[in-house]
Amino acid sequence: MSEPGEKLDPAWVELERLKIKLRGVALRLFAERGCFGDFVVLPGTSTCAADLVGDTIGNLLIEGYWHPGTGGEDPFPIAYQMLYRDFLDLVKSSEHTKAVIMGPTDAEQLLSASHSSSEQDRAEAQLRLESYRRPLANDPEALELLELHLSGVEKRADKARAMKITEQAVTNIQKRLVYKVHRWEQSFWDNKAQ
Amino acid sequence: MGQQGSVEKRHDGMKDTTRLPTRAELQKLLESLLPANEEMDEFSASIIIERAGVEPEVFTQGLRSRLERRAADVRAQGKEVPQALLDTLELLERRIPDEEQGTAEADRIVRELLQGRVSGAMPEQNSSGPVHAFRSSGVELSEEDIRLLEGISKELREQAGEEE
Repeated sequence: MSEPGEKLDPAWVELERLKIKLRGVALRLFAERGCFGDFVVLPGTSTCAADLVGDTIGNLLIEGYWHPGTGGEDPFPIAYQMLYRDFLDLVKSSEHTKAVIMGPTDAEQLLSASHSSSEQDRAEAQLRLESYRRPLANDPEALELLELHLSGVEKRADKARAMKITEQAVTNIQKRLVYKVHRWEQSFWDNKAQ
Repeated sequence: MGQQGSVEKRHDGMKDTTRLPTRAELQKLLESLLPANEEMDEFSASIIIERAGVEPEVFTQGLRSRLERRAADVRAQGKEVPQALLDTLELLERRIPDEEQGTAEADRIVRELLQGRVSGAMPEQNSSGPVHAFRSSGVELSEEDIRLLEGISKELREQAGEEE
């Protein structure tokens, strides 16, 4: 939206940053309930992910928690709490309860509860890792990080210790890995479009 | 032959036939690699947004309309609209002029209908989504990555064809 060479307005930068993060969270929460996209209304309510983000930003501004560009604290932590609280209220609303949809997360939890065992998990993790060896053949750091991830090492500090690198380096490798996995996943759709 | 055997083949110069991850596996891995909601960062959010496949301009226009309605509600209650909300609306108005707001939305709807898709209905089936979400992410693929991706992409196409 900004022209090349244009000085970025700090208020706009703050608003964009918050908007992107809240939108990511809202899209994910709605997707867990089977509603994919910004404008798909949660059944039994009149609210979509975009509405939830808009209302959260509106509440922050009206209730005095945030004034973009004035150098205050990062508004995301409080904004996330507000957004998540409102989302839970939406889900709990009686109308939605009547029309409840089992989201993929619920289904996955049920499946994993009934079928998983640690031995089976380890075997599946090993199989999954093998399938990524070739796509990540030229990125041994990403492959090492993935191996740790699939073997259940979740904390960044633990990954950094195991790889003998800094936590920031782990973050950078993880971003690269996420981007590659995302591109591969997208390539399924790109291929279908051809 | 076990997994180890498949890996060893690669070193012999023979074609590597190790199974590639399926789309469902890629989706599951991606979700597990992304941070928890309360720790969301811009990069990860950009990935989620691109997968949803909606243009950011449309979202920003909707945000502006939503905040305008909130300001009108406050006024209707006889209260003063907080300066933070007024400033934010002014900021959005500078970025999205009124005359563009209506036509851009209409253009988008017509364009999407012509492309045979309805915004938000089946977003994951849109192809690549808005790539500009990554322009400030600082993540770039090397030539080697791109070459590898193209090769894998070709195989995935064949694999997807087999699964259908």
